[in-house]
Amino acid sequence: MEQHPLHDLDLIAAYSEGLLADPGEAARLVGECPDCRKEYDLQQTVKGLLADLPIARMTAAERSRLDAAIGSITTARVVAMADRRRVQGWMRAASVAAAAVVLIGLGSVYLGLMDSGSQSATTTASADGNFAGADTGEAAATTTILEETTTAAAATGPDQLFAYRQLDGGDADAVLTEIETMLEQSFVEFSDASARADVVCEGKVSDREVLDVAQSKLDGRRVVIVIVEGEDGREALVYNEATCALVELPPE
Amino acid sequence: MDERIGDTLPSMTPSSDDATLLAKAAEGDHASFTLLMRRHEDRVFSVCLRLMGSRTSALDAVQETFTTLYRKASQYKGTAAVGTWLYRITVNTCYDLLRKERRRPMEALPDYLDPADPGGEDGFKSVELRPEIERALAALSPEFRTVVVMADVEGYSLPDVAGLLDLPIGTVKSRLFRARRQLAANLGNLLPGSEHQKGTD
Repeated sequence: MEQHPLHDLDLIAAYSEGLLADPGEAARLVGECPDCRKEYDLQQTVKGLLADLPIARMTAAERSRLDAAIGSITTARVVAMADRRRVQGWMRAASVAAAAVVLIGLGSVYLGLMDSGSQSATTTASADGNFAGADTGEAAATTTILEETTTAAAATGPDQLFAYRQLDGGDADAVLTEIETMLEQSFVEFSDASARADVVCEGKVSDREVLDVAQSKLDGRRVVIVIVEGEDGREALVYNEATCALVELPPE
Repeated sequence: MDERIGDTLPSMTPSSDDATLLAKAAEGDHASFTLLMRRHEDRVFSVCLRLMGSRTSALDAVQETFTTLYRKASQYKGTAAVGTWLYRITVNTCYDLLRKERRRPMEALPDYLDPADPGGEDGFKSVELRPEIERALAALSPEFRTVVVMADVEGYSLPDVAGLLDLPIGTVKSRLFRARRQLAANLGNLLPGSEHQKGTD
């Protein structure tokens, strides 16, 4: 079919969007050219259909899961803000240890955790283990995983870091298995209860180098902290049985 | 672009209130962040659902969006409305997750377009959500779908969409035009005045 000589899709598109300072020419075009009229009508019809679509809202259950996930994040953020210096020291210790590849008897490591009410619950844990070379790029022989080295520490209080371990950097499957072990639940169960919030963190683990894994309690609930490093720097993924929070760590 | 994008957005809550809430959130005020989230979560979810195509993925995207907003709250400079900033994060988050989903093995899509699923357990009113339109939307490429959702469904002006997506207005206009043609083709004879369906190539 031969097109009208004035058939100009770009002009029709601009006219449809009301972008023309002087729409006179486009209006004439639409009036004179049947194909142009058809194009214009099609644009307006589809636009009208879409404008009538209602907002898709979350269900109450979905909203609850979002609240739980975000609540965990905001709590973790407070923890991080309140305790950055200690976490920083912890990370520095890990880096130093990495240079030595193997360091046994690191000594006391402090990681204070505060509950959502900002009540300090700083605790102490004794930890033995190997450290992979986050800064050196070395993958240390870190085959031992989550030993029950924390008997003494575990007895000291509900908000205490009572174990932490080093895993082979970047082995996401091992990390996730480790977290499951730590939390004594499976991620399938988490998914059902948390809008698959773990998926967000799972991606983080997969995409980044895992520097360390810690186990602790926060607000009376068991959590696992995974320290990762990627393009955005170092971050802590804080898992509980329901969700996972992402916490930025300060640069070294 | 000197002027603040987002100032013309429809039905947005007052930007200054949002900015105040965000500033408080950056200082660790949970309640302020929750209030801010309450204000925007349905629209964010709605955008995510239409961009991602499933409720599960949309919820992941919503959570990631608000997580990012919270983490970056202290970086907000006020050069754009909070709503604009939030929806930019939303779109970028959806793109990121869509990219990741493409890398994963294909899975069944049990909740594909599930807002229209009359058997859904969530009490959605499927009739209101026009399943055939949602399906036609989902068939668009992410680039086309995004401009259509932001401009025609969410009601953003073209300059706002251009600002949100960091694209020239001409590109947005062109994508929108072609996306609507494709939608008309996808809708076929369901489109009012269905003779339009032929003229889409």
